[in-house]
Amino acid sequence: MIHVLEQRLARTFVELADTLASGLDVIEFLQVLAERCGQVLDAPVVGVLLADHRGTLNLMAASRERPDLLELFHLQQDVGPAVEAYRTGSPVTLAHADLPPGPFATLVGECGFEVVQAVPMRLGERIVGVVNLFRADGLGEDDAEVVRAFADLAAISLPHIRSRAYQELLAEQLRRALHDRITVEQAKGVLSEVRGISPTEAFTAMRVWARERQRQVVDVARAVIRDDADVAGLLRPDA
Amino acid sequence: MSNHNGDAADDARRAWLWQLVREEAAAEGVAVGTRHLCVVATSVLGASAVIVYQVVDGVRSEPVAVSGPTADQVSEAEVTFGEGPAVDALRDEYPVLVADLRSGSAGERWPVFAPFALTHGVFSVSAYPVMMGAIVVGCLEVYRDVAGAATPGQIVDGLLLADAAMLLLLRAGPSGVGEDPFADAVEVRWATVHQATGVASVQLRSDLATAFVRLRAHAYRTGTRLADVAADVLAHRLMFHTDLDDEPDTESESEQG
Repeated sequence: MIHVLEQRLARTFVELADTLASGLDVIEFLQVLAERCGQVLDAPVVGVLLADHRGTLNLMAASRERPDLLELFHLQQDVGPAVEAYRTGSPVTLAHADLPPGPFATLVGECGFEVVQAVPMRLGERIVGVVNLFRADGLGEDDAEVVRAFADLAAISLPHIRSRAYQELLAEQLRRALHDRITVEQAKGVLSEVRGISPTEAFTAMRVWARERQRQVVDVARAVIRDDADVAGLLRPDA
Repeated sequence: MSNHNGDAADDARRAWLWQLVREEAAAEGVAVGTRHLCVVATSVLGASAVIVYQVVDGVRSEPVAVSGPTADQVSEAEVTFGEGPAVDALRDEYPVLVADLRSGSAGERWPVFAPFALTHGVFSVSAYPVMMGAIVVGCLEVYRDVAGAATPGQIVDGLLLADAAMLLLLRAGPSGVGEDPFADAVEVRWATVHQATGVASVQLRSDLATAFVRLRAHAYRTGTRLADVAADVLAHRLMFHTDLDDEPDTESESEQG
């Protein structure tokens, strides 16, 4: 069992390192990270949340995008393991039965998740976000360590933050990343409506398009929103 | 370890800033406007003047609210010259922080604006774009009559106030006294709201800002949360149409099964 986990982990980290080395597309990187983290740990839903200048957590990537599953993250504005991990700086693991009663606990139950796990993303002394997992069964022995490795990797993927020590720039760089994510969400809506596909399919289409042309996802998203000629094939593939 | 505790306090700070803006309007007995935001920003940021610019036709921007004696002249000049910190912040979609307009780099960057601002007693400037993803609606610009870098705390306040300006500039029509223009503040962080904005912009053949205003207007009119309106749009239970009416405040949406 450990063998399989180790092999999967090794493959995953090589892939993620490649993604990092090939460019500075934070959105694509965190998306791949969320998906792989879910696969390696058999977690049905994994999200990466970044704190903004207000100290509130914003979803940057989710391994699955069904609206009710996204709500698992949105409902943790003030309470929940993600906020707790962010505020305390320590990992939090809670069984469904131990969650404080409320809309969040109810939704976790409706989705059939047994365990919620949240691990802070550290950049030096600062907590910049949280990796948040939802699982249908209990935890394996080494799982906490594995999640922490993913969280560390997520933190260092914020390249501008890494290279500049100034706190004011940190706030601003995080804000830039969050605005890029919002731009991608807006473009997912545009593309899904133009092509009659789901937002998830639209996201996949933009990512594939970006990868094949070695462009950043957010640049493709901006082009979709502007209806640029160079993404005509993405917006209207049958035309 | 110390910093993230500070972040938790930012949430309270946001609520406090918005409360100040509401009180400013309540003292006059009128609905909250960008003017009140300017007044609060001036005192909180220790500024001599604050200006809120709005993007009017996708390219140009103009001051819609100013506070302070020289703000009118200097901000008008900035728009007229087509150069200055607010112009750059809008173009780059990134804050511009200038500690001292007398510096050589400021003089090179804005050869007309910098000397003009200095003769009007403006020595340092911070400009924060007012934006939400690909929607760029304006800029919050702060003038100070002394040179010096903005502190990290002032920068955070500037960003928070720029957020508040966004909710005011993208308001769904003229608001009444007592109505809360910041009511959607939490939900504008939800991914589904931004996706729905994109969907609605296609249905309306509009830009994203217009689509977002229409979502808010519908939420307000029907007494629904913005997040729930977004869910209805994504599920196609709610469709927007161009042909019925362009006024965001009228019943131009149709519910579909």
